[in-house]
Amino acid sequence: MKFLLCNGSPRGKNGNSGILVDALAKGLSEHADVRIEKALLNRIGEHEQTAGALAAADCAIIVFPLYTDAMPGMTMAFFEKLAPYIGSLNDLHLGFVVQSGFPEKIQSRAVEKYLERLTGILGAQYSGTAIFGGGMSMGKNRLKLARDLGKTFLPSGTFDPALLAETSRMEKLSPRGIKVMRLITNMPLIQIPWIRQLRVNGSFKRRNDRPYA
Amino acid sequence: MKRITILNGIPDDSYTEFEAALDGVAATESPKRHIDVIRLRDLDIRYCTGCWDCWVKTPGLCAHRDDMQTVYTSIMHSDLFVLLSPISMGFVSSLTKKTCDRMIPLVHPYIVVYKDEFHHKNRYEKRPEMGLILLDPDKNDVDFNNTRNIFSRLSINLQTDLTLALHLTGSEKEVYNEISTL
Repeated sequence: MKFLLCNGSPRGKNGNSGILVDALAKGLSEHADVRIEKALLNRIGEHEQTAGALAAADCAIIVFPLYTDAMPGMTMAFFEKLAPYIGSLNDLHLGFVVQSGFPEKIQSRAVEKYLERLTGILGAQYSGTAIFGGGMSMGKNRLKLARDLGKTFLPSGTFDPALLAETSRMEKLSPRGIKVMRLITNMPLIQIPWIRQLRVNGSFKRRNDRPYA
Repeated sequence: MKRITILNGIPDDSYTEFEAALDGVAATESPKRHIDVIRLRDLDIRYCTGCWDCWVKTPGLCAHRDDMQTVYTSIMHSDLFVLLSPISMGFVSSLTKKTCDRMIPLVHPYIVVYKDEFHHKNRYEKRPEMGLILLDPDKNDVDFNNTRNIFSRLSINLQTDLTLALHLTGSEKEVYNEISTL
């Protein structure tokens, strides 16, 4: 069985999408008869070749970070290279992983709906979309979950719905959460990682610059 | 006078009559509004690489010093900016999406609660309204609704409102009926 794992992050291997791809591959490799191929979608010049590999695969999972509420432009450029295969990928099981810095799943629901539609346009079988929220760090539990998602993807060719529910437990902020987070986000505490980076780069004084005002 | 920037994300010559009519409408002087049309395919616009320099190194400035400077300036001096794109694989063109990705210098990295969700804090006080014009000769409602929903979310992230969403076939007539009246 041919299995293609696409990393749609502009950061390539160096981002959280790359970490998730590796974890999925680990889980999938527990199946003896699976040949896993990985593709980096930030290699724009290889998009046509990768589109061919996707068309020849039995299963594929495309992993990407949420960029301005959808896929990164590079990943969309790859989707456009799939145009020759519209309506013809009937034997392909196609799944997606969307990872976002925002903890709420609602942030990724609109693109999730599009991904199901894209699968339909290609004539492929939709395997589901795993939404990982709050993805600034990849802890052990998260990596285990990604491994399990890979492992249980086969033989059915779909993500396990019980595991999909675990990827991020917060659909949206609760009424109490909204009140608490309104207070917390007004304090420097939650912004510390950004403030620290601005200081390290000597840019803190310019943090409120508005170059196009 | 209302200032409108239309970011034309048509990637090729598939809609030349529509584009010619659009340029004609934009060139027609009106006391009520001024339209600037920016043809994105003629510009050097590079992909966002997720480096976050615009957040943590050069606040508000992208690491790419390309033609997006023209786009940023035009957007921030508009009352309404409109993304114009053909439907491509059920969504907007990658040219349009690439341009949207490059809008993150317009917000801060800081997180705030806005409309009961986590979002980025706005960098600018001015928040031009947002519009979407999708061209699709088949006028597929599913693609229009999916795309509009995604851009509605983007408008929340930019802390503005999606005040215009047009679903057109891409005819010259639609430019006169739907766009010249903006």
